[in-house]
Amino acid sequence: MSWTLPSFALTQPFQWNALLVFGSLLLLGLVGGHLVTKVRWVPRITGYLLIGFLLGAGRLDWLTGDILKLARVFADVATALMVYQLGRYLDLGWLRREKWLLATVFSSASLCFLLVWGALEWLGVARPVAMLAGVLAIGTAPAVVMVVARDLKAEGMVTRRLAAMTALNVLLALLAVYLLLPLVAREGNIPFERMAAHTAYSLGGSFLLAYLTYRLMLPLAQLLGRQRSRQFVLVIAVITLTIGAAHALQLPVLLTMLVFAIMSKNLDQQYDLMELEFGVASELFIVMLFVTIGASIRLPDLLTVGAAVLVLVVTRFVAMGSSIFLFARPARLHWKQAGLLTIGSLPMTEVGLGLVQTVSFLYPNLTTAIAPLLAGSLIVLELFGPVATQFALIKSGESGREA
Amino acid sequence: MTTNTNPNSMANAPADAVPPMEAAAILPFTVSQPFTMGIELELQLLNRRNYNLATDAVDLLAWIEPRDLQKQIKLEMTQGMIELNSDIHTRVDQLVQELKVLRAALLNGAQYLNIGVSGGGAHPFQRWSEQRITPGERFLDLHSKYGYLAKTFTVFGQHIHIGVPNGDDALYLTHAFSRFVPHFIALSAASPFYQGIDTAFDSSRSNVVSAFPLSGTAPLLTRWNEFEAYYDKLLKLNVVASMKDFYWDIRPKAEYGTVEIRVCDTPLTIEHAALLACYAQLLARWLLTERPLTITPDFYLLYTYNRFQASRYGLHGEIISQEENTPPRQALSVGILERLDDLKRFTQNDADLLALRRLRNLAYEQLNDAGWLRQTFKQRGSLSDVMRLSSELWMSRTGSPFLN
Repeated sequence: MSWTLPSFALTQPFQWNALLVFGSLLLLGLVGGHLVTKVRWVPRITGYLLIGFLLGAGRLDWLTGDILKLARVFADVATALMVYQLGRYLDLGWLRREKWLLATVFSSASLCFLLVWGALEWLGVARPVAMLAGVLAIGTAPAVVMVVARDLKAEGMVTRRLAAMTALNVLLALLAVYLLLPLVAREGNIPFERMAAHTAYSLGGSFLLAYLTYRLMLPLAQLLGRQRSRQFVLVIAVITLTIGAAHALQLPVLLTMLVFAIMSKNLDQQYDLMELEFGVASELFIVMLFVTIGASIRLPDLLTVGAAVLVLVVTRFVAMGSSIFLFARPARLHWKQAGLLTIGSLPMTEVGLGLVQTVSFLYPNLTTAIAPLLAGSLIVLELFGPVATQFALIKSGESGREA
Repeated sequence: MTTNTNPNSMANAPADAVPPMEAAAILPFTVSQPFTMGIELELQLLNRRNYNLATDAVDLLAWIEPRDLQKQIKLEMTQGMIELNSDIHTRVDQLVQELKVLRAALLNGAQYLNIGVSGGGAHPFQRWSEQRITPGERFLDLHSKYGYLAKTFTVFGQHIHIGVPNGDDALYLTHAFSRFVPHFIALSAASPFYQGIDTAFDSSRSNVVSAFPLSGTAPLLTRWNEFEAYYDKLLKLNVVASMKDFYWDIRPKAEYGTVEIRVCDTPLTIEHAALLACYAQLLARWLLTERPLTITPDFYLLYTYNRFQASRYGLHGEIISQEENTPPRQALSVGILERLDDLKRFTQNDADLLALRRLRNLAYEQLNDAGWLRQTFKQRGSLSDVMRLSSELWMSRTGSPFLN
């Protein structure tokens, strides 16, 4: 077998591989993240988003196709890690005692769905798309909230409520999407029974996979003992296994991860699973996540659906704020805290875009119709949302950075 | 004309001392009923995610009910701390009952915020640099004045107040109590871990206080008018602005009419805290009734050494004494047992006797909260878990595992 030099001709496409993608995005993201932190209110992740936007569809168009697919693998791990940490904020015992938090979440979810649906349909958006947008608007961005809270070392009532609300409304959004899809989608020759079976499989399968993951993890944690370094590797291993299993079984990854995290927090009576701060290790995945999200931002999407995006963003904000303020008094929140909680909830979950891509094989018409609206909303809420969350947590006095 | 040879008498005071009549107005001593007791408990607020210190002290106050209890629950230097203040009591069982009411009010608020409350002298793995100064003029002034020391002062102590009838008695008791500082430190020690490390001390908290410039012991004065003159001098030199600026281990509290013991770590249970108060009350009865100790110029000669022994070794420490009829070296636990046996004659009710019996058990078995914390860490392998169990201990109604 003979060997020849690789071609350096500029006309030949460069052979990207996973490591090249990983290293390049990390480096560029790092620089971008560092530059934006010169402004107090701007979190690092905004820098990552902007870098992704420049490299992706927004400008240079380097981060596309297969390269983007590679990057998404790391992004999936990052999202799963964030959702896992978020899920562990959900203490069911606390929710039983602090009913106003549950009331706030259910109220904001219902209002969000109804207001967004109503406003979009009034604007002329087709009913199925408007309804789907309504449920997807319920979710706050888990990765944004967790990363900003962690960077600021935020700790306190506003932070705790924001994290718990984010976990709950993402859970509600995911459940509602799967329940709603068979009811509103008009996909021609795809029978309702098939769509309903898909929903039942997705939801039931997620819960089962989450439970099996929990049952796998717990005895391993008992075996390894309460050593931080060992449990950290265990969690990463189990999370990546679960992601892989969910993909292989065509189950919703984030719903599985969220349910698994809630179970691990609330069923572990012996406290064998330690609370871990992922710190430096997760930093790598976070850069990839937000660069990837930034690369998906297409400004033309915003221009084509600008009015609908504006309506969605505003009605979502009104729905969240109304519910938070409605229950602020019984929850003994100061008005300022209620206001900051509303602002902190601004970033909408990016989960929706990935979710519609996952179900596009079964709902091709609906997902094609809603994708631009979701993408457009994300442009606004991913660029401004992290700034809003950072502002809210700093102003609440709960940022450790100000200590 | 007799020569006044008393070194503490104002007649022999330096020429620049302020005359008694003028100084008397500076720090009037409130008369209070002798041998009454009250305590202040500094408690840890914990987030129930990883059991590190929380930052919810200000929000917690909004949840305290009934509202009049808010007067007894106060903010402290950093936002992971809250202070309970008891009322004035003559009986230890009544003190325990009140502490239970205060605990219930605190827990009612804590459950809505999803935070835990714990005793202990120091949080085992908090980082002082991450602590947040409580908003408030006094705390911000202290932070400005003492810099990083203000944040390292995120430690948790029990202060015991004993009522005395006048300032002279207060000064005598202040000095006399100091002989029993090792007892209080050893019996209350509950801070073996600091910044994630086992310090090898039973009470690492004791070392934090020593860093402050006005810490240590009160000046060797025995007349209240002399003390007022001393205080007045420091006021005029702007060294202090009030008595709060003295961080002595034992301190007269003129506005309350009490002597304040400040060396105890906050115990892990309210029952244990009440026992220490009862011990102080019984000691005060003995000391002020029989005046067994003479305040000599070298009264504090062995103070820092014995204090170190108690902080470092707890109930396994050894005390050196230069008193007549006292062994020069004695195991601390033996000294406590002897003192407890003698104090039986000053008990006034069954509650006092039960308290003495329980204290006796602690000293005899050499059990303290530092030992419990270490043992729990050995069993669980995680300081987060230690704090979870510590907060469950404080919040439960079952009381201390070794107070029977």
